[in-house]
Amino acid sequence: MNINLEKMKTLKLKAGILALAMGMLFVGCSDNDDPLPDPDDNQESKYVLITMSSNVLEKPGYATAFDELPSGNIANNGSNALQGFGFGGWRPYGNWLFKMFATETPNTLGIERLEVNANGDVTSGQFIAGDNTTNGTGNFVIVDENKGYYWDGASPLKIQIFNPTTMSRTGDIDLADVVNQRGADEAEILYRAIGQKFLAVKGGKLFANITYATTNGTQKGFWDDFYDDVYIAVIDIASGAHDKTIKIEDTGAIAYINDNNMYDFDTNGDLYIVTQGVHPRGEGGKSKIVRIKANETDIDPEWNLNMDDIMDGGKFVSVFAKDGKIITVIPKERIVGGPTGNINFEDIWEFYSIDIASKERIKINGVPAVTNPGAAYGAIEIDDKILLRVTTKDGSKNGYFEYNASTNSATELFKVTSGGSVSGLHKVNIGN
Amino acid sequence: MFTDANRDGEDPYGQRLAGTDIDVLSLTSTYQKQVFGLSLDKYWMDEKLHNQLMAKFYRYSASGIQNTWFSTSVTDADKRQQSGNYWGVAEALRYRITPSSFVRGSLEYTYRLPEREELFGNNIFIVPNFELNPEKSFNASLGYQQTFDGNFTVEANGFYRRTKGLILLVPIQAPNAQYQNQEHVKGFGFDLDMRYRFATHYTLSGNATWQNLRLFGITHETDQWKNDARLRNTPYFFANAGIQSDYDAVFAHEDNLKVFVNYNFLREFYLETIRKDLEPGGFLGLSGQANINSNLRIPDQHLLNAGFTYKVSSGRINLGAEVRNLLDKDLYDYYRIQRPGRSFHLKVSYGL
Repeated sequence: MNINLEKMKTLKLKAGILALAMGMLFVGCSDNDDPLPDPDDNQESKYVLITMSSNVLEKPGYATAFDELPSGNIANNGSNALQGFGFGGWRPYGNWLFKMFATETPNTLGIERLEVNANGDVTSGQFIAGDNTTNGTGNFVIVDENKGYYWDGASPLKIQIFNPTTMSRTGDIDLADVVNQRGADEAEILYRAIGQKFLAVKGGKLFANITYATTNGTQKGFWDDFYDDVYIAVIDIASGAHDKTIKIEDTGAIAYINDNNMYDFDTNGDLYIVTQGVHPRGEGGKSKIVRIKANETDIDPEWNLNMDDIMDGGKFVSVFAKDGKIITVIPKERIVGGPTGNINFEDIWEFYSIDIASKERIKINGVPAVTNPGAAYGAIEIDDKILLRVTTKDGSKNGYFEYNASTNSATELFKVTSGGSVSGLHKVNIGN
Repeated sequence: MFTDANRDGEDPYGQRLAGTDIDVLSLTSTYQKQVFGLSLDKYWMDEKLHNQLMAKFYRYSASGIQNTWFSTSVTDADKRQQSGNYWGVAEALRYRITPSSFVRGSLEYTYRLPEREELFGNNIFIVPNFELNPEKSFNASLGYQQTFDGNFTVEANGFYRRTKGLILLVPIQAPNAQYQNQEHVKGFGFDLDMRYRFATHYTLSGNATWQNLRLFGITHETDQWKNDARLRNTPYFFANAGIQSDYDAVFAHEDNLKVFVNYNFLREFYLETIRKDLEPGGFLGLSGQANINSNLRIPDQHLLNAGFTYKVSSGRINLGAEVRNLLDKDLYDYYRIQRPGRSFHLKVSYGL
């Protein structure tokens, strides 16, 4: 295994403290040489909302920075909104807003960081380009303000290293030996990759899925798993060394290629991971949510959620974890893919709260069945509020609902009436 | 008009027909299109009034595999056979008011059949749609032409269009996309065309088109803001002006030299839909720029070309030279694809 690293640090990420830590880091990056100011006194918050304005391949849409958490009816395509491409979702990190698609040019894979200033102007920022012909390019995870990892289809057996502050590639880790530890002689494995669909950082370790695909065409790596298990390489971030390879048994199609990374950390640091299942058209079957406990590096053999036990012909597409509960959407009927299927644009997805310990699931009241969140996160947390993305087929609901854990119900917070279907909301602090 | 096309291919790593080793791409997709036209011309009033009634019959058939998306085998159930027969009709009337002026009008109900690539896709990310329907449109126009002293001709036309089922590329399940019948568009416009031979060897020409094509009939609540928005990626004003000289026997008997300068103006337009209230103001929306924060706005463009053509006296050899984008302006094509800066072109042709 070849390692090319500029600098490595061990950082224990805890989901609960992530936003606070990032806020402090950004103050530290300020041009102001004075001692660190109190963020509450000197930082202005913006609530950035993105929508996808047209259901076409280029995912055109808008981003608007609001001074307050939106409420009521909202237009997201006014004169102050940034219009661009690739607004099907995003993958924010602290005060940073990252997308896996370029804003300025259509269908361009990579990593872009949107910029927001104190005036509320949203602009497209720097972009790290990659192989534009392989889906998964631009899949990334961030360790800290100086380091992140991403996958580029141009070098499928390597994980790229980048600096998210400067938005520049800084190196790579060659993991060909790790990938080839199994299946090297299997003729039916036509494509191999590492980190194409799943990259996560926990407890100083980098977790990266290993793709063993039975196709090598344009859709390689998707719904074409060779093995019955999903393999994940565990890499020590400090040394860059491969520790081991773990597996999620009897499933397929871990996560996906979109901005919605399909995993989440519970408040206690436990990591919950979605696999979409084994059906070759993405229609589920053995779709699971599995767990790696906070201080562990193996898949917890004692716990998983299996969609087959909940809804035959369904699958998981989103996960949000907090305080021992998971919020996710579960299809109310068997999913069907393709142009006329119900998978994406029919109101078949219902929000549930699932108690992690008992696995008891309760449908969340007050929320209609929705369309597939797709590249957007199904649930997010802002200002200690849990918000559910709610869009219905007819567009009568298109915004976020605020979830009340004590009553297991949600009420409409705001509705986007102009600008397209909601695909993301995030709060950022702007240094003064 | 007859079109007959078949397509097959191979992808050793691609999908197979279920239960077989048959490469799906090896199965031939077919496309046949025929357009038949029949017109009836009639003259009255010493041929001052001319009526043309035309009927068109469109017929197409296509067959292929529909479900060539994702890494899955396809079955015989995924084979599609699509065909359609459509009638179109056009009625045009022209009245010659004087020997140097006429007025004309037309009505048309017509179809645009799906193109081959819209049906077939590209088998990469664009998958076939053998269930695509033709675009259906109604068009009306009214025009007037007048020639003054044989040297100055001006023609003005107005038109109205209403199109249903515009074919657009949409995603069906990432990363795949497919052409589907999507939007309805209606609008009106006019164009003006002038030509003035102001000296024996010199001619001025110009034309301008303004059109107001807008979306309509959108009922989905999330997209209702697009009703009355301009059709995206479609310029709404463009104009051309040119001057040309034409000399015979310049250097030799029976040679010919034409020198020209042409100017093209393209008003800003929008790669994606923008709200109507953010469009530029002024007369016909021709002032300023849209009030949007977007690089998907394709700005006003100015293109100046100049050159000459020279036909040598033998009549067999033609020489041509042209400087395109003389002002070296930033120019864009549709989809905001950058076009070349200043460039020089030479052309020599020899007729056998």
